[in-house]
Amino acid sequence: MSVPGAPTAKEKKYDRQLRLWGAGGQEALETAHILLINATAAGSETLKNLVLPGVGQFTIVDQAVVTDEDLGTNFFLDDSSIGLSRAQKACELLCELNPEVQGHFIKDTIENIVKSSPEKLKDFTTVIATGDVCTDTLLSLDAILYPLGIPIFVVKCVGFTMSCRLALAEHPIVETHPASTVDLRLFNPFPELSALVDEKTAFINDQEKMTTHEHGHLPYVLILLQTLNEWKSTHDNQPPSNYSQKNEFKSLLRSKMWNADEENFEEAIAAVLPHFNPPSIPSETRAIFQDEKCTSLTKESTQFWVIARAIKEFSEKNDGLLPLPGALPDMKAESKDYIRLQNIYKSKARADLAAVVGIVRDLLKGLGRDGGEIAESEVETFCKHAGYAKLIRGRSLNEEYEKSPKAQVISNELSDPTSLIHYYLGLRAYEAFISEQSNAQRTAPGAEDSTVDADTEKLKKHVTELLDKLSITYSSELLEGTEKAIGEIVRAGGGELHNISSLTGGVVAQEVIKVITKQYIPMNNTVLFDGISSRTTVYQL
Amino acid sequence: MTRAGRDKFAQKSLGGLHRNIKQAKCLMVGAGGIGCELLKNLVLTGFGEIHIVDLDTIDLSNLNRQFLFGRQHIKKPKALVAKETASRFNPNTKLTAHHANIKDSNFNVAWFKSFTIVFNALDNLDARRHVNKMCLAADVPLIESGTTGFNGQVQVISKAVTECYDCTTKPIPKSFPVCTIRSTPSQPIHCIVWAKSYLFNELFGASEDEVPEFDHSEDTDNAQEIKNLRQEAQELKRIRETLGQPEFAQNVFEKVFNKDITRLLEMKDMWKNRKPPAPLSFTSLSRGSLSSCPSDQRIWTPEENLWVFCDSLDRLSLRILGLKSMGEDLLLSFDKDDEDKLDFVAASANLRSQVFDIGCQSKFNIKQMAGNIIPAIATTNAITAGICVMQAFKVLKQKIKDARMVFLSMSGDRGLITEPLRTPNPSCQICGVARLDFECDTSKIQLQEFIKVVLQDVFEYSPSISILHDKLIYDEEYDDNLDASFENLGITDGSFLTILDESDDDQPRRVNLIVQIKTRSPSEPEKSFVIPHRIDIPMKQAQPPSLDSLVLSGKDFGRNNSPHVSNEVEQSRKRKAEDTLDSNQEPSKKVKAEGEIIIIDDGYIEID
Ligand SMILES: [Zn+2]
Repeated sequence: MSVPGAPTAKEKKYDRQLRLWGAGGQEALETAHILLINATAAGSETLKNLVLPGVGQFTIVDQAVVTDEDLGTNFFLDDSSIGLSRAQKACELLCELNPEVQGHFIKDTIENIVKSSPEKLKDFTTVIATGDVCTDTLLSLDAILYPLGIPIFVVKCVGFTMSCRLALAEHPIVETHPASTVDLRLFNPFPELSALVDEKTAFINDQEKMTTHEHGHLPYVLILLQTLNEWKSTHDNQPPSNYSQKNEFKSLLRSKMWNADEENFEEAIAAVLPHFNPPSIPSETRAIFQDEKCTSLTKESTQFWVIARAIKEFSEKNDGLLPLPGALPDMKAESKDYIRLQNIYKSKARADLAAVVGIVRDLLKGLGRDGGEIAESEVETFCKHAGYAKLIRGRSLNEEYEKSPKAQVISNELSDPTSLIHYYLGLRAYEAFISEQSNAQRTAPGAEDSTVDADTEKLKKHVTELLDKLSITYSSELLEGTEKAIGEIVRAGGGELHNISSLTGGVVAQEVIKVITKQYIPMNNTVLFDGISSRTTVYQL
Repeated sequence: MTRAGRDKFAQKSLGGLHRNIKQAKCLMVGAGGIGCELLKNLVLTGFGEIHIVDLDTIDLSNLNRQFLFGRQHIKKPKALVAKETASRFNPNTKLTAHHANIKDSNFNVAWFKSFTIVFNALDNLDARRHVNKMCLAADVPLIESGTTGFNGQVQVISKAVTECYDCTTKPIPKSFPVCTIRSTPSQPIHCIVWAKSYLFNELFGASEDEVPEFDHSEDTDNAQEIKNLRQEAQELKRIRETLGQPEFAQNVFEKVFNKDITRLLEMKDMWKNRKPPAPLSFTSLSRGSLSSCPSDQRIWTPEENLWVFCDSLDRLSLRILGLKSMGEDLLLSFDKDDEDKLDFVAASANLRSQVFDIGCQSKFNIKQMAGNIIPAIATTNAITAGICVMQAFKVLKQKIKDARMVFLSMSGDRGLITEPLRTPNPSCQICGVARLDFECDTSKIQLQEFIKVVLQDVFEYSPSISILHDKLIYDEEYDDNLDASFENLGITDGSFLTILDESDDDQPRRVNLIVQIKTRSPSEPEKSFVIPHRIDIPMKQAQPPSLDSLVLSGKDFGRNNSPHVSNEVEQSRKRKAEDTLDSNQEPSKKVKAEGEIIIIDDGYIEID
């Protein structure tokens, strides 16, 4: 029986993921259009993980025809695909996974598209490059997309190894999904909160005027605030600042217990270390406030920057405090007291929100824009996360390849033979190896048994050239780890191993989802994975 | 048609291991989120033979990640469809599907022994523990895995070499005393449990006394109140008989939100330190005139709650009457994915929250809290399944020491966290045991014969023992079953008995003895059993005397101070497997739901 107004079939299908990224995240996903370069196993698996949760559209660019080898690694190709267009067959099978998703394919190489019709690339939300794409093409893609703010994921998957490099100029995240957004304002109680403390804790030390039950059900927030007042009166009006003072404070709390079973006092004691921090704006939030895009708004400023600026102005007017998120953790208390306390925090959060909304409206009008163009719900989300927002400023591929300001990172890791940086160098050498060959006749290092030794030497040469270019000094011992990595890469002969491709598809799709939904913090900017030791490392290169 | 090129890359990368893989016979238990990914990986990696066991059928909400299934497969068995879809992708792999419960008796130790390796891709604790036990008994390596949202975990288990699944304590499900739910709720979850486990069941399902989730261990302290509650339930049963009549919704409403509340108010002592509830009146509340169910994302107004309450009751009544007219079973059970049932539970829970002045919840949140929903996505399953296969490679290469415990937390600058596998916990009740196979004719052998001739004569056990077969069947004070045959006690081929040494605390005690029953071949029909050879049963290592009793009672084993256990609190925090949404909870019983934390009181009503 269908019920009017009940969740649609689509909402039911996506129920388990809506609980991770909500309706807003889902909408972003459903309006996205992904470009996949090459329907490799890793590429197809990545798309699978985006098609299943309902990405809007995808396009596969691939000139290859399906071979026997593809069947052994790519789940989205079958016997009947042999000899046909890989882009087309993969597109067809991927579309079967979710009728809501539109798939397209282009039987061409990305080299040709970059050269002949680069304007086509601007229509995509995200670009994922897999398989053998030569360096020149990657850098051309980067030169087109990076300035436009279109994220590029460069994915390499060879044998037991994979790497995923995200190039994205600016990525602000409001909903980072922190474990908790609780701010109890212990060091800066607002008047309504202080009033409740006075009312409820007047007889905290008086066994005549307070019953044991009442004492055992005082919400711990009130206990902490009352005890802080007491402490400050004997400590120059300062809260406990260092570890030993905090321990002293805990003893003071303990001395107020009437019996050993008072769970609320235990909660208060446990809250001292996590919640006794002087109010300060977290460094990530401060970086956002100090960013030029925040300090000098323009007519084109995005919603993120306008709200960030409004919150900055709010905090300047409020002793450097951010808007109150309003969440209250659960605690031992009578439910009526708990609800009252909860309402006090909620009302304060609503008042702060109203103030920020007012500033947003004024800012917009000042810019000659419509004061109502930003919804209050967007401001509310930002206010709740103001202390947890994050801005990622990425690095372009061109910058990494030409100047690499992070050469030091590589240099530092070289002496550790277990570092995954060796796989980075090995995969860069792999890329150089295939970039030397013409498009039509490319073979991967180690593809033929007869050339294994020669190919190994070539990769080593590419690594030393790369290190020279980055002015990194090295000795032969330093490169021991790199030689091992090259050995693994050559052994694979350019082939993918299905379960590594599958895992890669999981990792890459997850990062793509984080970037598209602007939720959670993506790995910036290079993830390396080694299947043999099941390890990952993230480098900012 | 087989194609030579198919294996080319696998052969290159895997070398000699590729042969082991082709010859391996694997068992995959569970064909859900991880299972679909895992099956694809195993098939494309070239595993020779794979058995799939799953009891479930396919639901719409599976399709955002379980890609071996499509809309056309809804309500079909997962195991069969998974086999059918996956078999297209490698003709060289032999696939066998079992649409069955892994706990069925035909999946016995001998059957487990026939596999090279077992993969657990399950979503519940009970089945995980069962497979763990079977793999230990059969001495087959097990790759255990689970996911929650973006988090996942993979563990390799090998008898006597690594920790087993039960070497670390697993959290007990959250529970509530009856009185909190029925008389003194203080949190939204209490009202949700009331609506789902009490009201729904009384009106449409099996009644309270038959619901195993309710534990009445505190009843004796509240005898009078419990008596009243029984009577209330009886009255509700009578109202149930008016189902289908126009005044049914009003009758139910007046009963549970007015009459019962008025009765509660008379218990003056109860409200000395609590805010008393406020009865609702059906006629004074306006039912409003909605045309459809309001949005599940926002909190409903009192009028909307009433409207949904009446409307969902009508819908459910129609269904019951429909079933009745077809002469079918009249009982419904709660199902979070059934809109009618969820609407009823959501509206009832919110109306009750109104009565007790507790914050209402949106239907979306209530669904999560009532259904214990674990967020799940394709990406986490893909990563987890990929790791499972990598660990399986180590096992097949006989390099289990190189295998790792892997945790996924793919956020920020962290990716996978790997740890070396740990050695078995010597005080584990599951793997720290001695094992004995016992051949007998279960219809003839009596319990007392087994105790006397086998345990006392051969193994020289003292009279201070307990014997468990799922539950206690014998100890020094409980001798009711001595004359019963094994068969009458439900002990059959493949059953396990656990013998506990209950010597005094100051005496050394033996580790538990696990006796596996094998039905005797009828070659010597005159003998009811074969006297086993004596095996060595080692003594237990010193341990806090409390541990046995804690684990056996299955209650409150969180408050344990032994170093091993405290270690596991840390581990269980990381270990967010599908069945353990609560695993990050300390025994302080806090449940996380949509960013809010709710304290759950002591007591024993489980939610799912
Ligand atoms: Zn164990």
